[in-house]
Amino acid sequence: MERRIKRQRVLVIDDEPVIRNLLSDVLREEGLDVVTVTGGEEGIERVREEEFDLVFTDIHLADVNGIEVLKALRGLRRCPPVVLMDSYPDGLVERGLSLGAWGCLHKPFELYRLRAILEDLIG
Amino acid sequence: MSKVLVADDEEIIRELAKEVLEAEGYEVITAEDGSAALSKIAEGGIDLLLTDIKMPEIDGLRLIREAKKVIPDLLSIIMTGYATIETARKAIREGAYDYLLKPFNLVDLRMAVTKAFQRKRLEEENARLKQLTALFEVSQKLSGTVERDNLLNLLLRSAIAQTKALGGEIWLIDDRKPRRAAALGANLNLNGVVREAVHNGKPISISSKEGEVVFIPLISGRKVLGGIALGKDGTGFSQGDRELLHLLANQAAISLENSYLFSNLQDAYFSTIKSLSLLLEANDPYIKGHSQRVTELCLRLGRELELNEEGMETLRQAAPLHDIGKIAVSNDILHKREELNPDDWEAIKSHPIVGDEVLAPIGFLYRARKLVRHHHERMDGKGYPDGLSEGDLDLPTKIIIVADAYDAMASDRPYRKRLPNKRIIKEFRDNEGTQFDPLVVHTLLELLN
Repeated sequence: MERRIKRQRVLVIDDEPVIRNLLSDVLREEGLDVVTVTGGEEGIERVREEEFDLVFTDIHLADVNGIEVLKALRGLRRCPPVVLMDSYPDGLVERGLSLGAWGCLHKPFELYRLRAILEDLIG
Repeated sequence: MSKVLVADDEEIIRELAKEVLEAEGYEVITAEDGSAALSKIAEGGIDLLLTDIKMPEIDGLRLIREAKKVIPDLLSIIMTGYATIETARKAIREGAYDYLLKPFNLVDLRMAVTKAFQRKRLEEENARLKQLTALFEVSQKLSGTVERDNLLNLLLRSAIAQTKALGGEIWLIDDRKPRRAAALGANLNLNGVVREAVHNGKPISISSKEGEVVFIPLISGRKVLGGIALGKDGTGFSQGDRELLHLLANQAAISLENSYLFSNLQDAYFSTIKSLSLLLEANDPYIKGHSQRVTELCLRLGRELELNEEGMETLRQAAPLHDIGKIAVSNDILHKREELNPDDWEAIKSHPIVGDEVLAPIGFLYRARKLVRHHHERMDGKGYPDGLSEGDLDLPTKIIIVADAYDAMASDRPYRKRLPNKRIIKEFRDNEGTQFDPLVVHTLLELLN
């Protein structure tokens, strides 16, 4: 008899289509359910309404500052681990780490770094 | 040792990558463009391809695609700049494991390559695990299979499926001579190979440009029972395949040995029964010959009625033994000259049941047993011991009912001489439909004329 394992759900918040597509492809291949959104507000809404096991969010979003997104997510009742991404190093992600972000990825990042995060968080 | 091919049109990149990866213990070869890379791939042995996305002639993406046609489970990592990350994504979709962003640092290079190989090992382990699970299930089935043909077919099918072989054969030793006992799929031309392998009891592998043929002996204890041969094209059998085949062969040898033991046991039982039958006949001169005549008649009727092979085999087994139950009937009754009284009849009527019980331990006689039990039934339900009627009786049973009755009428009894033919014909005509099946009677009468 097969043991049914519930697929884990990941949310990706990024306004760059390449990143959304890339993460989508790679995460799906790792066996995860992936949802992608382009803006921070939408992202927060989704996490509020649905269950996610992990959130990747760009810190340089168009509509709202990634730090705000992080704060909002951390304020939710059940907040999944948040991994911050930045496209250029301006210290924001480091600030995010001190505010409770689980980790960070500097774009463009090699996949092994992404996979290492998945290994640690999801196994 | 793992082999890496670095394809990049820039010499610096090639040299740097080679240096770093050789320091990690990998064997590294380089190529300066797509065509050179493909030639190196064709030579074989490459485990990982590290290629730039932009190269003259064949670009990195196409290179990966072409290379995978030659080496399907080739690992690949693509080197790209940020501007071409979308292409890198395409490469990932085509099966590339990771990408390296130029200019890459040495840590990234090392990490990406190491992780790629780790992942491959993990996937191979998983595949092995799946194989082992499948193997376990097959083992369960094998250990439950005693019927030799089923066992051999199951073994072959499993071995071929698990190793993706093209064809296979099983050879068994019969009287010290190897003979081909089962075959499936493509034809392997084995000849002398088998004799040698069986003689030595050691596995043999024959590689050619068409592929590989392996022969693995089936050994139980010290005895070589035979062997299994498989053929596969392309690069032949992997180490994993070989290990799997050895495991299967071990399990099969045990099952095969069991099936031989079981056969021997059945044979032993059967021999005992035959002895009893001979004893019975030696004891009763009037029975002697009867079983043989009934058997002959049953088979003749069976052929005339186009009885299938299974039915014929059942008759072959049951007819010589149908009166074995009489061994339990006292000699006084069997040889009585006067008419038999009701008690005598009761005793005699028990013989089909006794016969059924005597044959019970012999598994393969399960059909023949039924005939022995029912050879005194009638079409109209007035027979013994179970009062079966037409619908319950199969053709072999209907045949033996007629044949047995015929021989009883046509031979001398202790209390009367044989009936004349005209009388026999009349008896059958009078009782067809009630005691005897009309079609069988018709066939018998045809044969008599």
